[in-house]
Amino acid sequence: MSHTTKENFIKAKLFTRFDELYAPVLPRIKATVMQQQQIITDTFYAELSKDEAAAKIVAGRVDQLKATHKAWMEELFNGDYGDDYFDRRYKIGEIHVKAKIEPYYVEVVTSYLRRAFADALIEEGAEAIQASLAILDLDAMIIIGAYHEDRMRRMSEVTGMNQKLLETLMSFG
Amino acid sequence: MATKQERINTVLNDLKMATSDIQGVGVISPDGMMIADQLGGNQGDATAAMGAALGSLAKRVTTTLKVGDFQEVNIRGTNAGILLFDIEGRAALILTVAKAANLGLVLLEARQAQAQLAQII
Ligand code: HEM
Repeated sequence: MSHTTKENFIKAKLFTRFDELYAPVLPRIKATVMQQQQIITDTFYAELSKDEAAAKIVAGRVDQLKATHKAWMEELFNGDYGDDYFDRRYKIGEIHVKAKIEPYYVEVVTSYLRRAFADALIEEGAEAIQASLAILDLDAMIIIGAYHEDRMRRMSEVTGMNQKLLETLMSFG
Repeated sequence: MATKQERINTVLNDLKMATSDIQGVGVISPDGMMIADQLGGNQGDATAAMGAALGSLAKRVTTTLKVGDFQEVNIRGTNAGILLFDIEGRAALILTVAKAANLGLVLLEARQAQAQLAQII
């Protein structure tokens, strides 16, 4: 069930005029960012490993995670942000949910990635930085969406209330 | 031929007329929508949502604690009471009853209405 997140993804793209303003820019800046990919990825896991709890989660599989992180970065700049892109990103979200990684960590490392991308693209100008931040925000929105939907699903399971009812109840809050 | 809505309303009318201890009656969906509202007052939407929440949770509790199929919930407030009856998981019948209601008669009538509504819904 990725309906809500998918709707939000589509709405967010329209709201920011993503397909018009940013999607065409991303493939053009791919090479520049990917030159820094290794250092960005290495720092990403080094920063993460400073946190005791996060370090335990990634321990023993950092090399494998670095490889998937590289593939994730490549795809970020491929220029195609349609249904298939959404599905793959949502799956990444679900994998983090299943691995019981607190969404807090995703938020803080996304903050690191924002800074790293801005640094890598400083010479390319504002449009390049804006495009990289726009796609990072969409990715973070999808991953956090997967967490949100998982919480709703579990809430529904525990209380026996269907999700529509839960939404209705919350509207009275 | 009466519509489904009319048949539901007939059952609710009869129930409400059965004893003056019954103050209001309604039928709600598991989504928390009002199917038929004779509760009086202007809290229909909230009542439907709260009633559905009560029914869902009660069903979950009966399953978890293995006490058979969920049938009904009885809530007593200091001013009045609320009764909720499951209609085969498809809907619920909700009643508000007077503070010192003759619950024996109310339950008898309400269970009859519950069975009739199960045939309609
Ligand atoms: C924006 C932030 C993040 C991105 C973009 C990201 C990216 C990825 C990707 C692409 C995968 C591979 C998914 C697959 O197998 O298809 C993955 C898996 C994984 N990530 Fe992340 N990640 C992020 C944050 C985190 C954080 C904060 C942690 C730990 C605290 C973490 C730990 C893991 C682990 C343990 C797996 C493997 C899960 C499994 O296979 O059971 N990730 N991540």
